[in-house]
Amino acid sequence: MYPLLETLFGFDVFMPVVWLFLAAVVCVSIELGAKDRAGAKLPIFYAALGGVLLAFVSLFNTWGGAFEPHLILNGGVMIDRFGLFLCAGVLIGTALCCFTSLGAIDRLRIGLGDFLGLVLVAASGMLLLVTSYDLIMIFLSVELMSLAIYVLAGINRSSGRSAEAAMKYFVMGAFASGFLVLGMALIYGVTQTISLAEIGDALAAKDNAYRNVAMLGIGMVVIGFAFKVGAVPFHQWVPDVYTGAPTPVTGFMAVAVKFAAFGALGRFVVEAFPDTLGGEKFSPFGMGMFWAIAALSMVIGNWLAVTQENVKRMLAYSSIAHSGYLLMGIVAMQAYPDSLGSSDAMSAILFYLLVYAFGTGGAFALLTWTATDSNEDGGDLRGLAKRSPGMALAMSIFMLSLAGIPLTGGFIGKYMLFSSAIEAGEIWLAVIGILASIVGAFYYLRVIVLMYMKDPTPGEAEAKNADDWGVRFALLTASIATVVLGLMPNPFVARAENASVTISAPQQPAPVLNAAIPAAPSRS
Amino acid sequence: MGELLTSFLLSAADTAEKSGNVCECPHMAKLALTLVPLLPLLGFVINAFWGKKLTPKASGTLASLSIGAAFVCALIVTGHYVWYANGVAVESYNVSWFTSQLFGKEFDVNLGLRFDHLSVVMALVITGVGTLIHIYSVGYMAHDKGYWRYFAYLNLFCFAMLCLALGDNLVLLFLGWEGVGLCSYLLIGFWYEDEEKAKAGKKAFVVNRIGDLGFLVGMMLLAWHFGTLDTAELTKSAGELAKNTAELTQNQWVFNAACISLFVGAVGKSAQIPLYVWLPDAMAGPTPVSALIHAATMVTAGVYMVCRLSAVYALSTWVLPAIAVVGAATAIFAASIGLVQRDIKKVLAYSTVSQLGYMFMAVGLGAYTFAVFHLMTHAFFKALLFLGSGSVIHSLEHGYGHGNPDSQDLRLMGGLKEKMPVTCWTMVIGGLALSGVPIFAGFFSKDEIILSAWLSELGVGKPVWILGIGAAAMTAFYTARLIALTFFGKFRGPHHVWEHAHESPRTMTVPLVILAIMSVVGGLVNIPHNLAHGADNFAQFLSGTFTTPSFAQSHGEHDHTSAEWGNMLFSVVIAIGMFYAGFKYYSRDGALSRADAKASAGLKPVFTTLLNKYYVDELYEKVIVRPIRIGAQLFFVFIDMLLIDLVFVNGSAFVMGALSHLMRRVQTGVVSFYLYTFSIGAVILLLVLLLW
Amino acid sequence: MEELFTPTKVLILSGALMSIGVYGVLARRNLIVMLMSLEMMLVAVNVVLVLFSRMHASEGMAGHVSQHTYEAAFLGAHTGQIFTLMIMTVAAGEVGVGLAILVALYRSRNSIDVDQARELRL
Repeated sequence: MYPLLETLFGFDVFMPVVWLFLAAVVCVSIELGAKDRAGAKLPIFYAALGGVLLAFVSLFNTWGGAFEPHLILNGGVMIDRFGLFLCAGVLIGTALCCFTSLGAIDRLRIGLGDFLGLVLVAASGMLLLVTSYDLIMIFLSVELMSLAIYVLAGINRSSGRSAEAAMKYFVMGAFASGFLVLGMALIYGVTQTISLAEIGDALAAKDNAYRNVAMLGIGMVVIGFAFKVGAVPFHQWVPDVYTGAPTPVTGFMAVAVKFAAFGALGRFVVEAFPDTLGGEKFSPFGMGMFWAIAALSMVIGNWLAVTQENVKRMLAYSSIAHSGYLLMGIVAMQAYPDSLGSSDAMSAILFYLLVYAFGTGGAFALLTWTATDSNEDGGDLRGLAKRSPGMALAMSIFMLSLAGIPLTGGFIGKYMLFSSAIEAGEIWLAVIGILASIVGAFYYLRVIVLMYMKDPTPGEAEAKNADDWGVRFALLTASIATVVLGLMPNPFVARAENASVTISAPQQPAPVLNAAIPAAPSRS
Repeated sequence: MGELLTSFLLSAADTAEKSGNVCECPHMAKLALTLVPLLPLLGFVINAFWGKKLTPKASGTLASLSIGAAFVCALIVTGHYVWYANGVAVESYNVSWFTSQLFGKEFDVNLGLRFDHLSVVMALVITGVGTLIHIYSVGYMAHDKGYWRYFAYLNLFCFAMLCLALGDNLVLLFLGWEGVGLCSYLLIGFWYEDEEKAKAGKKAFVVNRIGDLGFLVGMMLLAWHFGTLDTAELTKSAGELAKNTAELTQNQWVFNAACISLFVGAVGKSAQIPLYVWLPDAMAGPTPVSALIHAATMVTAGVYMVCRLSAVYALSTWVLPAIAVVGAATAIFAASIGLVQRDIKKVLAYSTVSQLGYMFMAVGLGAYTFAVFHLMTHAFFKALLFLGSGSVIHSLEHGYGHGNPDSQDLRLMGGLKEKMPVTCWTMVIGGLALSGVPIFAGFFSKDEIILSAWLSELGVGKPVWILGIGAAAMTAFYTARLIALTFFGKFRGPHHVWEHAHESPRTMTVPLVILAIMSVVGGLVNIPHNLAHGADNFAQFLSGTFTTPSFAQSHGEHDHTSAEWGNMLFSVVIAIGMFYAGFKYYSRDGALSRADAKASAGLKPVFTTLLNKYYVDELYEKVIVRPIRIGAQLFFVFIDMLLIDLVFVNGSAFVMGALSHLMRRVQTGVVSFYLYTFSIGAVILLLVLLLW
Repeated sequence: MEELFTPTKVLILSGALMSIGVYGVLARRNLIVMLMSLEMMLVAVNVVLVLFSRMHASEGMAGHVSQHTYEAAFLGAHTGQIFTLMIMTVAAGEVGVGLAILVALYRSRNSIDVDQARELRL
């Protein structure tokens, strides 16, 4: 497809990441070279958006047709439909962030180039993360993603809250990374390999003497990921960081990071979890671990969201709850005895992520739109229906979707997740989840009440953001997508199923393409 | 304007129907059926986005036109269905919504509409009464600044209600169910500036969630057992299952559990004991909303749902009798509360609860046809009464100012007959229909229900009959009281209010007149056997639609003419007698204030001077009014306010909120603390993994 | 040399480093000290990885006859050391970002005591 670049880099399937990186460089360069910041805004925006679009197009080049999963970068990156679905999700989140930041950037007192450059770097880290196939790649891409987002969280230099959020995220994130990498080291120590597929087999072959070390390693890696997705009890950064970070960044974190972290976690669970460990079946242990954090996340996330007055913070707690629902999917995945069922659960997770991306991304985009200099959180939605009915309608759609009300994507997603949990025999977890989501419906609908049944706060700036077409476009797209996912989910569900079949089907050894060291054959 | 609109709509209906007849292709019917719910949706979208820029009149006309057009479409489909379809249900274009695995079976959910006998009644009532109420609202809401939101919500409500009534599967029905709940919530709290009114919306919301939970559980049980949620397929499988006794007994609990869960949903939506509390509070919304949502359509959704699933209910054992008992208890309980209410809309609200109780009584006795019949007539006369009361309130508000609760207080009304003759006489017709006075619609439907109770082979038949007769007596009494206090006697409010009171504009009175006509002739579609043989057209039309439970199947085979006559005479005597008594008592000057003073002053002999003059009244009050009043107050305070309000509604919300506040303290904001909890969580997780 | 650095001793060293690191992060309030402690956690992991790599190398490479399998085993066995290099790189980046955040925090609050930054709570 790209003969020149193919010869240059040797992997056309790797192009999305390259495009994002190039776009990041272009963004920062324009920012550096530009004389006036306001004039540079649009070129930078188009450069970033172009990068995202090119990445998207090059994804689709590898998507359709007879697509065979294959490993590149000496087995470090797996190109398969699963990864590409998640890549598409990450790119959607990135595009939403580009659009929402266009107007909001003026409040942050920073150049759009610096901002979008960091966003694109983080996004390329995410693309790598969801396609990573060995421990080193996972670690590197997690860090690439996280370091960029630590900075993004604190990018509003005039705000003490932003700095506090960045500090909290950084300290806790680095602490969690310590756990993650220690777990990886222990796994490597036991198995002598870093490739995910080989880890699973190697662990299964080990005798009981290695059981504890392997358990520790797996547990620590799971803790690292659980931190990234914001699952209880590793969730406490979520509300503070989501509230303190600039709203476009929060939207990006909520959408893209969740895609990336859940993608990597899902792949890790499917590939690296052994069938047996020390002579015992492993799945009960893995399941128990996720069962606990899923149940806690659903209950505590929804529970604490009920009394939040700040909508941004409420959405942060709700994101914890949604992590819980998704973790329930991971439990279901392991509870299935057969791979067909577990691919059902995986596709439910993928579809839910997509739905959640539009719902939450849209909600944060709206908060970006309502934010003012005095109220950076954009929580003042009182009487929004009177000020701008279209915006209020879009927000209602997002809230209904997040609450899982039918005719929105959220319903289909929740339905798929809960039914896969019930199918897998995890009735109690599903019951906990359903009860928790009934509580959840309460606070989502309260936002609608705020918008439709309260009078606007006097003095609220009327049409200050009226010409912010970037946010308008993001809201329009997200709300249409939410409704389309609710009304015609089948094509998207089919994509998700396609994507998850490749990962959970019995693995044939995948061919290594473009191995960096030609002499070395694939390890066995 | 209103007349013009109506005549335009009627002529349009005429031509459209003709063209429907000419073109026999089913696409015409399909298209029309699809348009029935979509047209109100279109109206909603236009009003929601551009309503702010329209004048109140334009916005209202648009909303009325969209629902009116839906009525025309419903007429077209009805024409096609009745004359050409030979009993084959009209189905709209069917969109596959999603496919999945459920309980090990392939499970398809489609978005499709189906139009059959039951839908004819529902669709015509919803769109017909809906159109009238939209037109009425144009006048009623003319001066409200939130008119466009109002009409948008009203159209959205019609869309949801039509989805509920026309949906071919329970999922779509549930969607409509939730949608009407949402719109009801939005419209109850429409004047949200008032804290009380916002609270009423919240109460309706919470109570309905309890019901929804039941509905969901029931739906899941059905999906689990039958593998489908399509109503026609459910009816078919249930019919087959009814013959298979072994399987039936083996899975009896499933059907009982599913039916009772669904009934819990119906109890919430249709305001039956113990979840009726939200409906009287829902009167906080604009009056046309009360007429459309809380009298004619939404609250009957529960009745409709049980009727729709009659085949499934036929599989259950004790659920139907239980429904009959709940219905009868609600009927008399709500009617007794209605006797003493002072707010004109509250009286009507309790009356609605009571009449819904009648419908469930009929459902529980297996007399589905009469439940639907009463649903239809009730839609006419109760909408009429609500719209009439709205007209009164609207007129008095000119004097009191908008939103003043005094404008709804029966104690401050009286003598309005002179000022608003059209409203007065249409309401009298509505009142007579509600009381069950012969010739008027309510007589035919209510009489059939009471007769079914008498003839029922169920053990609960006779007690239910007694409750039904008692409720009928009270109904006639409070209706007469309402009308007498409003329109007769002397005006008891301030003088300037009397000066300002006037008849409502045409847009409001024309719907009243039409509804009054319907309240008279609406009952004639089904004349009982003993009066005219073979004139029970309505029952014949719906025959075969429902699966009659086994205990009700012999009904109709024997000749019950003598029982019919006896029942009819008995209930007519009671209705007319109680109506007359109530009217006489309350149309005298000062009757109400005296009754109130007595009750508040207890046994204080203040009225000794009056004793001689009104000796009969005193006796009457002591023997009938006061005991009932005290009983009703007791009911009201203990059951309504204490038990349900405090424990169920506020209690659960309070516990949730308090715990949430407590848990929030954990989020201290100190990052070291977060690190500690992180580590402790990690250590526990790892220890469990290692030591398990 | 083999006698001096037995696996047990190295593991103890690494465990000590890790514990000091975790203790430092948990107990100290000064962001600079916390940064140092975080680095120490990563150093502990590095030590473990180098140890594992060496162990695998001595186990895995014995008895390989052909050059081909030897190379493969060599690469596999030294992955841990490659991982270590990567972690060191990332650690450097992490310190950079951490110090930048420290500066931002100091500018907004005139303090690098992490517990004083508690505006975002509940």
